[in-house]
Amino acid sequence: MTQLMNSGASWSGRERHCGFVNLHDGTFADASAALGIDFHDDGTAVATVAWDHAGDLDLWFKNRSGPQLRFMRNNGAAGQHHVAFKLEGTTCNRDAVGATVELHAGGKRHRRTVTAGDGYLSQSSKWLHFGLGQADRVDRLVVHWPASKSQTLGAVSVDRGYHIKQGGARTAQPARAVTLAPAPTEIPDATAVARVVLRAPLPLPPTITNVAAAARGANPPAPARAKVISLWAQWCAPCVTELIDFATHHGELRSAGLEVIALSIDKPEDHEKALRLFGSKIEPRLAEPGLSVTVADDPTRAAIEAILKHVLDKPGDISLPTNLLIDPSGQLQVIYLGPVTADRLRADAAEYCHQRARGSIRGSFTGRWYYGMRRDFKTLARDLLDRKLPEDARFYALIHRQQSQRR
Amino acid sequence: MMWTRCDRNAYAGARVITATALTLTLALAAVAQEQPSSRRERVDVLASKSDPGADDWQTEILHSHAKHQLKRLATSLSVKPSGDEATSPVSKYFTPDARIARLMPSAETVLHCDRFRVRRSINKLVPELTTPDRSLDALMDPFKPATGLRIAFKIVAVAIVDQETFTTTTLYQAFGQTADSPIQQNAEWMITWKKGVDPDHPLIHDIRLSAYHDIAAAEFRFTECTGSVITDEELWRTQLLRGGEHWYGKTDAVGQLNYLGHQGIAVGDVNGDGLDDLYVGMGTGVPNKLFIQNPDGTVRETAQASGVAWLDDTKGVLLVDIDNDGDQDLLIALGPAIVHCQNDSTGVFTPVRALRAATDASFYSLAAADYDLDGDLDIYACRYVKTRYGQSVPMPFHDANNGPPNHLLRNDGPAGFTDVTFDVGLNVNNSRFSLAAAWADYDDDGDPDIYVANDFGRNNLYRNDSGRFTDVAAVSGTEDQAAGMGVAWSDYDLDGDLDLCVSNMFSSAGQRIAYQPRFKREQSEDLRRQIQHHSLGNSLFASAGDGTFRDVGARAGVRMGRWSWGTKFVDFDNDGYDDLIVPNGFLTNELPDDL
Repeated sequence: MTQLMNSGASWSGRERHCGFVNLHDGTFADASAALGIDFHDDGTAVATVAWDHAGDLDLWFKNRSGPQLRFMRNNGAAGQHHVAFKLEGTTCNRDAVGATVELHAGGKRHRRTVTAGDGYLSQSSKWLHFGLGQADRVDRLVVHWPASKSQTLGAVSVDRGYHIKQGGARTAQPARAVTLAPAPTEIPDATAVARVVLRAPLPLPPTITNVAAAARGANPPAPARAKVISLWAQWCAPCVTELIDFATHHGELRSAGLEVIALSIDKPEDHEKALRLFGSKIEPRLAEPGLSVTVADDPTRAAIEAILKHVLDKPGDISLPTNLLIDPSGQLQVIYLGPVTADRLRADAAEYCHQRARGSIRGSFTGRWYYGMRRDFKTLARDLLDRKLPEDARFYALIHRQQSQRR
Repeated sequence: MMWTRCDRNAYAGARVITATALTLTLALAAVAQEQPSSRRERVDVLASKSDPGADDWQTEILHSHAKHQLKRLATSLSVKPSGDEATSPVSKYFTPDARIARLMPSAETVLHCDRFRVRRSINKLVPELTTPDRSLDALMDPFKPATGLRIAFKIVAVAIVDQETFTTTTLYQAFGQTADSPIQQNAEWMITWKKGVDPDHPLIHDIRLSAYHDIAAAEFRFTECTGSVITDEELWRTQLLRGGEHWYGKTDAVGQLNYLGHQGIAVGDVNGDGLDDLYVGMGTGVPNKLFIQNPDGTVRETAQASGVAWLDDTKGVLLVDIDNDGDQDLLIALGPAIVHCQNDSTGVFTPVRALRAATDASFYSLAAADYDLDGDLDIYACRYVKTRYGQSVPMPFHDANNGPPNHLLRNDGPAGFTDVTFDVGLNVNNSRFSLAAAWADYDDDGDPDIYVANDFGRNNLYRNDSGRFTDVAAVSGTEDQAAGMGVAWSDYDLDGDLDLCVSNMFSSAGQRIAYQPRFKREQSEDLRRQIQHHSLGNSLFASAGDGTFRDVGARAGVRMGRWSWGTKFVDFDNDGYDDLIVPNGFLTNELPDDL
């Protein structure tokens, strides 16, 4: 699957949702397009609910692809009647799951049961919604409660919702007027840009931490400073634009305790070109040190690729620019795929690179984890060994050993 | 690894580095042998394995030529004729002496419900022949004022007649709209092709019509209003607008292949204000959503404040009153654990326990019912693959019996839940690859029975007799050996008993191949049939009222639900007869399917 995903190919992709209309004679007509639901999303779950209380069933779709949710308003069928019930159990379970409403109207017998979970990964509303067609009255209404006496209710008016308590009376649902305007989702172009906050800080191996020392224009070693390694190439225009922005704001970055190292990942034959470009476009904007430049040799490139693959769990291409925010202790905190602003770097440095604040939010979004984080340092070490980086492999093998001993 | 510029298309780099993967059939075949997710292609793979001497299937070559021609025909039909052309734009796809059926047949209205009209060809289709031009012109006539005309063909069978001639069973679908009024046509055509002078471009010699429906409506039944309900622009843009393909490679150690989706949703009134709310599972690293409905139909997102902003990959979710205290508690499947979060009646949740499976297979769909009729809700929980997606291989793929067990968790009140799977007999046939389950008292004896949809093989119908379960799938006629993905119950024909819809994969490629005489010819007819069933699509089991069912899916016209996930019965038009909805699609990416 990973191979497939990486290839950019589809697999039963762009398949349109299907809707089949019941023709009352045991057959159905595929009306997917005419119903207006035939999106070619990768859809998995759909739930039904009379969301706006307009007397018809609306749909919530959950998709794998974007948008991950769609709300489809039912535009209603004029002249058709309906009635709806919400049951409450007293001797049976309070949600009345398993209770069946049997209803006679227009010479037809309808039955619906309260369920909790059907279809796939989906739970619809517990309201039982009955379409009645042209029938404008209910002739007979019986509720079959689980493990209990059935309950026959008196006449109910149609086009309403009722709450029915087991053994008790029914109460009408308050009327409600909701207007939801059409709002189709426009699907944006794909983007490679993302800010990935690491769930747990990742210690970086010597090959990467040594990068700063070799940089031209660096400050004298200042171990207490956080670093940004900005991966760029001379052929990448957005990278140059970003570095100019860093240069323009480098005073602020410096006072935020950040040192930026522009690391060219150009091919060796282009290193000279990259350094020249940096010298002509970036360095003149610098009033003081703090934004330095160096070039990545093959081992450095390989180490960075291994780290990115480990964190992002995705082999394949990396987009430029990519920035790595590293805290003063040499641990990777945030990866920025695509351009990032100096302001964002400052804010994140304050959030993740200072001892007192560290760890307040782990991951790109606020929320709670059920499972703890355990990195697979063994695989990372093996990968680095395959890339002929024995020093770095040893670095992680040691961490792996410590981790195993702790367990 | 390759480095690309961020402002190029995100997939552009991938396209370069894995150009070899574009020989898709080969790549997929390799994947299909390894991975359970490879449903659609596995029939093809089996086909190729079954005849190692053959390097290709003659009919698949004919299919690709015919498909190509139909694609071009569809394009010609979609273009409005300029009127001054000497020859018709469609004639080049037909033999000079082609005579075809009237593709727009005499039709009768079979459903007319509030400006939504469905017509069907009258029963006896008289093979009245005419010229392709005239026939297609009449077929396209309703679309003349329409915009956005879309025509698609699907070939589901290929048969070789002689050296020169072959036939295809072809599904046709056309759609267009005038103003807000949709028009749709569906048909099944039996096309006879002649290879002619250029075998790569066969010509249509004859078309017979075997089925026809059209739908005309004053307006679409449904209108998307997502942006009017979810009004938090920032939340929408940063967390919901983009799908799995975006988040792939953009979170720390996804690990669970969560870009494949499969996150559940649940509707329920979480804060007791009488309005239904929505809980949404999300993939790893993006918090789940709790959308509380406002009186005006919009929502506010409160997952974090409500204590349910779980960041782990989430599968099945349920909103049910576990403790009978009058509010909706939350059950949430996070890997091999179901976390039970208790509602404080205002919509704020506290996790009270985790129901942890003994082995590490993740839970998928959850379904609640009071199976022992003791007044509280018990949980049936499906499990699918033993370890990470793609690491456990179903064996044999068409009747796999090496999956992880599902569990029935009995609600014992304050004491929590007890796994009673063995005690109640649900351990029987319990090593399938289960995706979904639905409870219903199909035998009307007062206790809920349960149907379980399994991928890669047979399903289960466990009949509940006062708390003891027996798998009656085989004797009731509902075994439905296929790629089961979803299940729903309804009395769709209003005859008083509960019928069953099971969503299964529909694969035209699988059908084309599995029905060839040479497909698995060394195998028994029985095995051939089992494998053939795998690509047929949705099953609709009509109850006979005596505990047995008959699959009427083909006659009812609901087979073609594509890569069907969770099917649901829903009465779209309030006519009292349940309609069906089938969300589908597996993996849409930058490049199209090549199969």
